[in-house]
Amino acid sequence: MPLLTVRGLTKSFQRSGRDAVHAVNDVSFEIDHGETLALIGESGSGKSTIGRLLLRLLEPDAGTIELEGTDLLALRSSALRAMRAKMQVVFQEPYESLNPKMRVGDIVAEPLQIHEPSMSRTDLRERVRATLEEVGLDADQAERFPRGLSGGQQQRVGIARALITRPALVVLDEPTSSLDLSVQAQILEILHDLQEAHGLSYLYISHDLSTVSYLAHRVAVLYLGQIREQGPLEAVVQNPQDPYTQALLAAFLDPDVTVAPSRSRMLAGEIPDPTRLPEGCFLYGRCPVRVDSCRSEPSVLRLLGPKHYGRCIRAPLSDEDWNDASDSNAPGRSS
Amino acid sequence: MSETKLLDVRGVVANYDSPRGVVKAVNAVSFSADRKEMVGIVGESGCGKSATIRALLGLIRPPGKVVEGEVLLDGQDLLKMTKKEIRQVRGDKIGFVAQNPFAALNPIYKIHKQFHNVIRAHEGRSSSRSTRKRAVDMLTAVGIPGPERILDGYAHELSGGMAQRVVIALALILDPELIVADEPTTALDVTIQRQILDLLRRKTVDEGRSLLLVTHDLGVVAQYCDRVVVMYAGKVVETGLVSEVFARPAHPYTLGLLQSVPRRGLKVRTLGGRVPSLIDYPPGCAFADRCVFAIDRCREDIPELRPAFPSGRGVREVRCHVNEQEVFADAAVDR
Repeated sequence: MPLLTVRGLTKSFQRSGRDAVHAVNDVSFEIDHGETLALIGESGSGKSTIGRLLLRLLEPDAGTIELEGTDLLALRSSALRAMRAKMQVVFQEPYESLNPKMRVGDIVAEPLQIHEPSMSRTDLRERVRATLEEVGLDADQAERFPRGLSGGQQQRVGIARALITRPALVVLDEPTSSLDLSVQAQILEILHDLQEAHGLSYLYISHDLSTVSYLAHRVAVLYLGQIREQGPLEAVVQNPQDPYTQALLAAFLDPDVTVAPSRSRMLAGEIPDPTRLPEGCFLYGRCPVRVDSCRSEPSVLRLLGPKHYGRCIRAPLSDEDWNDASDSNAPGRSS
Repeated sequence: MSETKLLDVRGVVANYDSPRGVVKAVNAVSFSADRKEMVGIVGESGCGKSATIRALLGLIRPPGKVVEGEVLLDGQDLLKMTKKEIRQVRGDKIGFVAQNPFAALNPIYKIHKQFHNVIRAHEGRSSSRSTRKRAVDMLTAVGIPGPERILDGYAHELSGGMAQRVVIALALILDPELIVADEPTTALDVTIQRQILDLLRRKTVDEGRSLLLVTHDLGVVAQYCDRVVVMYAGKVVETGLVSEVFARPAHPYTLGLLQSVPRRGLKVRTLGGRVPSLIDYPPGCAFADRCVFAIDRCREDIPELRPAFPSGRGVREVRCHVNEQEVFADAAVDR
């Protein structure tokens, strides 16, 4: 049984006097023990909303979320609180997610005090010390306040706080995107080592392909709140089958100067308004390889290879499909 | 020194007074930019890249001060100009594109008013009709569909990508020779990033301008810039053609940055430590404490910029006591 099973997750945000924003649209995925699933997408793709729904910081309109066979959405107060010890989160902005008036040691101890209130002070202090050490912080940094720490150290505190209850699943919501490159590398290494040591599962939310490639085992590509393509990292990154995934990969700028940028796979325009979801394929308006049936046929995930699913009815897409498209039926380029 | 250099920055020193001492934010920085050339300035936060461009735009304000150096634009020293003169140069000769387009645009004026104000401030009285005509042409040139409608709207009605195009159009409306862009695509989605970088490249190379691009994204530099200036602790530590520097890094810091980019299947190499305080500048090389190549001399003696890899293409300089062959040999191990 997978650790986490999500089925048909749907969420829209109602706004008074305005159209509802359809943020997450029928999203299903699983995460195994010790596995990292990356949710990759641009802003407005719904990736952070999915993270918040899993943690029940938001309530979905429809769908089910099961952790180790327990239906999370059916849980109320105390049972939910107990379950939260198994599912923790690390946020993007380390400083903003830490209470500036609390010392590092107290920040890290807090979740444990909530979930294991009977623990003795000595045991608590020992767990805090051990957890700080695991994320590469000295025990004497427990006495400091968050503002006295560097961005990288603050994020280590965020990770220690998530880890101290010994969770099974950690939601990582862009944990390195506000950090410098060398610090980012240190944090990724810690996350990787912690996963190996404790068999942790991660839901890794990111827009950055290089960190996804480093950390993820499987990838789900989100667009307008919908999974467009999902599969093992190698399959999705080396053999992407959806035009959106292909454009996203082509947009990645490789620091290796010997790799020439691909110029051919760019989407026209920008992400459409999530208050009015397109008919048929969500990508239709921006897609250079679209055909008429993209609008009439239902857009469903179908099996393309081992554990590899995609929505594009034209898959597998070849280079020629893109070359033809750039000559003829591409939507008007905005630049 | 060739006559054709549009921008020539020579030995600029900018200090900030702080309660704890003098912060040497820009420490004898020299570099140049030719017409039709994109020059990338890279480094981690606190390395002085933003302070450097503020210095050359005349935007260093108390408690900061430029205490030495020359910034020659077309042979004229910007640092000798009065406030009024430099204000005229910004806009006329230098266009600035900031990271966050919504901070750069005025939220309470219609877009047309902002074009009108810029043109009037630099060229004196001009009719609303003539400024409108020029704004429409420029918005069209930066790939904005329906420019008339955009001009009658406000910044908040624009998407991030469109807002950044408007900022670029405003930066170009007076036909400057130099464009300075500070992380112009960091706030944008990846599929939009390429559109904006392609636009900047066209406006620079096709129209004979120079572009200074400040970024922490090595992929942007690798795929778009012609030359690169690597900064560390307020100093230039390496310069050269991107194709040379990224393929054969001569400075251990450049090598460390390149190796910090996470790649699948490779263990990320992390640069330990962080940028030192710019108040207590160490007696030797500021990078020595983080450097795996450091020798005794590095801690005693500040290295000067010297030529590196003399057989390579273009002018190549590095600020390091260690032989560049040794540094590059270490990089080659990873390949």
